[in-house]
Amino acid sequence: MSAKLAFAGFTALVLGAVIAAAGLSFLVYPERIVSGSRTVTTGTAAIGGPFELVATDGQTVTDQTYRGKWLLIYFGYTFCPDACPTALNSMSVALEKLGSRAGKFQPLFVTVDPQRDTRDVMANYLTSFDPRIIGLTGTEDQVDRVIKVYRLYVSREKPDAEGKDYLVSHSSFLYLMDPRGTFVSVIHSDATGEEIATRLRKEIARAEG
Amino acid sequence: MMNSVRSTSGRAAAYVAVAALLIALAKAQIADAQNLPNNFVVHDSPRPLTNLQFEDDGGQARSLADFKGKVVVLNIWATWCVPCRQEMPAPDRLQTALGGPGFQVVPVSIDRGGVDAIRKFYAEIAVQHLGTYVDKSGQILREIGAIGLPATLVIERSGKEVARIVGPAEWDSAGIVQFIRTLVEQQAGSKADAQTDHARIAKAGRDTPGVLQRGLAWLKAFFR
Repeated sequence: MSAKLAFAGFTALVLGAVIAAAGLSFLVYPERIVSGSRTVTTGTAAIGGPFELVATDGQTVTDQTYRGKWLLIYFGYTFCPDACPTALNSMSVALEKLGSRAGKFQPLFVTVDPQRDTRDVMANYLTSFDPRIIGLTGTEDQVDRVIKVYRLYVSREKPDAEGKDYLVSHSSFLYLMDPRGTFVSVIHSDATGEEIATRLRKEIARAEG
Repeated sequence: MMNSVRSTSGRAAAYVAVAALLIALAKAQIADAQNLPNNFVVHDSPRPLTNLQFEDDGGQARSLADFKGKVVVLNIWATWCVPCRQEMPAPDRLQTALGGPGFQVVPVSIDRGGVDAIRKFYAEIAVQHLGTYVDKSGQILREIGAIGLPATLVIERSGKEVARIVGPAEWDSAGIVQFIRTLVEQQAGSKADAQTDHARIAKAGRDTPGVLQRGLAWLKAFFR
């Protein structure tokens, strides 16, 4: 066999392999090649998970309690050391703007300051906002567990001698979980009610479309 | 006691003590007047504002333009905001002291409970002179670019923002009152306006004694 022929044969083999590989890759990444639609990558961060908390009416709830509904969760607290956040107010506005579609959502207010935010304190605070928002509190351990599985940033300063007035800062996001309890996305808690409603409509459409 | 005061050294000591006290009071008065809170941000130049919309207690549509020509302290608050509730008597006192053709405190609540929630709270703290305004959509907070309550803007007569505080403040403290008084005086348009404002402000000044005046009155009581 001549060198030229051998070389040509070798090149053909390499080209063939490349084409075959390209063809096979179709099987590995079907969405990218076939549908041409954007893939939604949720990455490796596993946000959310099992938890157990107590609602303001005394009922114990877990992550399973609200399966079948989208969860919109605000992690916060009722004490304002300086300026007060307006997330619960914006959530209330959003729920109103969603109209009948609000029924697909279960809005939650989970405290990261259970020492101060007892069931009564939470219930009283929530009277200023949409009645569909359920307040959840619990023991320090129960709340610590939620903070862990939702990967929240919370910092507590040690209480002073009388055990009063310590600052609790936290991530300023609303967490959106789908009806199966899977994390979907966050919405910045400074968003207006209008912006939150628009975003939620988009997410439902994306999931159901 | 009377014997020691009659003696020369006793009297001298008493004079020195009184002088020291007066100096301390004067210093406190000056410091108080110049003292603006850390979170009181005065802008380098007045910032334009959109025509902020809200409703009055009759459900009528109102806006910032309705107050053009007055210096305005616009206070965005809510009944569920504890720092807002705690500071509210101060804006009320500010309105009582300086309210008139040249100045108004305009508190706008974002309470979902609307006018009823505001009225109930006003009754609880015996508000004297504050108006009732509401924006249930909460949009006004976004319009001014603030993310927390209370958010308060000092707005000059042309409708531009000259200063703001996010968070609570003592709105009737000497420092802030002086800042606003100066603004109202500077902003006085026609000569007639200036005279009315000056007369009213001077009266407000007489009616709200500062630390020094209160200190002097206290001292006077001792020597009667």
